Amino acid sequence: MKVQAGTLTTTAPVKLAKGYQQTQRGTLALTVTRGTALKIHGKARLAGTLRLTHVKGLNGRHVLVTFGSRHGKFAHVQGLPKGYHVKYTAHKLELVRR
Amino acid sequence: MKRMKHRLGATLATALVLFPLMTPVAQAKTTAVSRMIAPHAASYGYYVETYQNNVKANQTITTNPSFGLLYTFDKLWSPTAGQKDPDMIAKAIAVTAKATQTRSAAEIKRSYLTDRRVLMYNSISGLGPYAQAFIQNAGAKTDYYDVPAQPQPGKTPYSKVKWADPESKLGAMVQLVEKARKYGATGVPKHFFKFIRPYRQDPQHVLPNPYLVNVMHDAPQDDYDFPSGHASGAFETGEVFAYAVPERFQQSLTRSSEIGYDRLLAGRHTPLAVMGSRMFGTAVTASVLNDPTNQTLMKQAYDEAHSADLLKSPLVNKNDDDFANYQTNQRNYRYRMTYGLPQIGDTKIGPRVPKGAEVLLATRLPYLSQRQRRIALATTELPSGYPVLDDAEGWGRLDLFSAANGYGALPETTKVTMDAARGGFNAKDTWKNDLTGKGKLIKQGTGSLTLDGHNHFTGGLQVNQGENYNWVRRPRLVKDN
Repeated sequence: MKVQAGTLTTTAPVKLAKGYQQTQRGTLALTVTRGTALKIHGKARLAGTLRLTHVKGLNGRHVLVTFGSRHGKFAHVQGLPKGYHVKYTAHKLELVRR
Repeated sequence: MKRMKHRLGATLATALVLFPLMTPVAQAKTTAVSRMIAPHAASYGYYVETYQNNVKANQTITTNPSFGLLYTFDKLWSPTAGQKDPDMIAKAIAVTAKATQTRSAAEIKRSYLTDRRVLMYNSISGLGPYAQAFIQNAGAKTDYYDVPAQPQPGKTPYSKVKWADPESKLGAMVQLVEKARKYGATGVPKHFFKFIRPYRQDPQHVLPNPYLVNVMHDAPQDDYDFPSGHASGAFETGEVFAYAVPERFQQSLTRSSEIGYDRLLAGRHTPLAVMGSRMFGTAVTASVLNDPTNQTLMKQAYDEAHSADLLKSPLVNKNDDDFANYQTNQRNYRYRMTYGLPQIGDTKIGPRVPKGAEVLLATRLPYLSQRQRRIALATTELPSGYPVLDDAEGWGRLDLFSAANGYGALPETTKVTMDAARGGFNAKDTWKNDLTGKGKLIKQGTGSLTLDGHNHFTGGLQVNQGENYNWVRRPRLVKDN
């Protein structure tokens, strides 16, 4: 899946079989519910904006996205709940309380 | 043609950039898709080019398109040879019998009103919240609102009240419906086939509507079953409404199919008759909408519908809608496409998209090209093999309800460009089909497209521009890229 520009919104958890690519002008809008919003099998090439909506019921730590491998990061993160930041690990992008 | 070449070039260029190793495959697919949507001529030519030949003077399948189209019934029944497929005819009559035996009081009333009213008036309820505004501003009238205290006397004629006023505020809509009705007569095939009505073929099991017992008993002996005039009128009117008011596209079509079902409930028709009518009414409507002399009227009808006289009228009542439930509409419409009758012919014939049929989606999927609308029709239609529905052009297999949900499959790289500034479905639309196929979907433009099906297409999704691109349902896995 590729987001060149414009916004991809997922309001239910999605699994991608073959990677994900987003460029600078793209936006990924995730509805943050209990599960992991986006599971990427394969490589995630990240850039542009991550927008979080309907964030509630967080308990200190929440996995937003998983991936096989990753290149790049989101340049902007919108809708971060107060006191949280995003943290990239080898296979995950998480919301973590400071 | 030049534009088409240009577009093809752009598509291939994109494919080249994205899949340098797959170019030959992409080219082969383009050819296959073009073949898939190429029109097929019938004995009478193309319906959209010959529709005005449906007049009484033309009595053969080559000179009269209505007869040529509905000649598919000859596989089941011949006026000289009799029943060619007695099993299918028995099954069809059994569907009508069961409908008449299990009908509710509400269905008795509705099928009575459908029977008695002027055909076109019957379609108004498909407009739902806008029906009252239509009645008011089109000057729509009927003299039938309820069932009578006693069954009507025999030989009571159908209503003669003028259904709507062509000079009213919604006059262009009314005139467009009447244009479709003008060449919507079913007399030639009806009087060729002379197929007896189900309540006369099987009087023990097919029970006339209790308020129509006398009327049906006294109906002339040359009052035949195939095809149904009411159901033809229902699809002609409902599809014109769907064109002018695409916001009610699926609801209007569902009402058309319900009118067909009402004919079964009344004991008047077999499902074969109303299935033939859907095929016929659809061909007639597409022909009228393709006619160059109607283009100004069509625009007027659309503009009227989107003015304060209908969609923006203070008379709009959101609670007035017999067709509010999408799932119920879909289930009913799909059932009534075949009434559960089995496939009897070749089930492996590829898609058939009749010449000019794409016009039926012009206002519902305004952001697609004509070619893309043909692909939407091809990828959503019924399989072949159903009784009556396998005409040469493909009118019988069109599933307009599903096609209004966008493509059914992506057979090639598909660019969807939506310009939000143009409003309506250009700004926001939802594709509800479960998309399959190997194509890639490229979303361009500022409009927002929601994919709401359980999608399994494997070519990938690319968002080039757009306010929003929703993927709201929960596909297990998007096999993408």
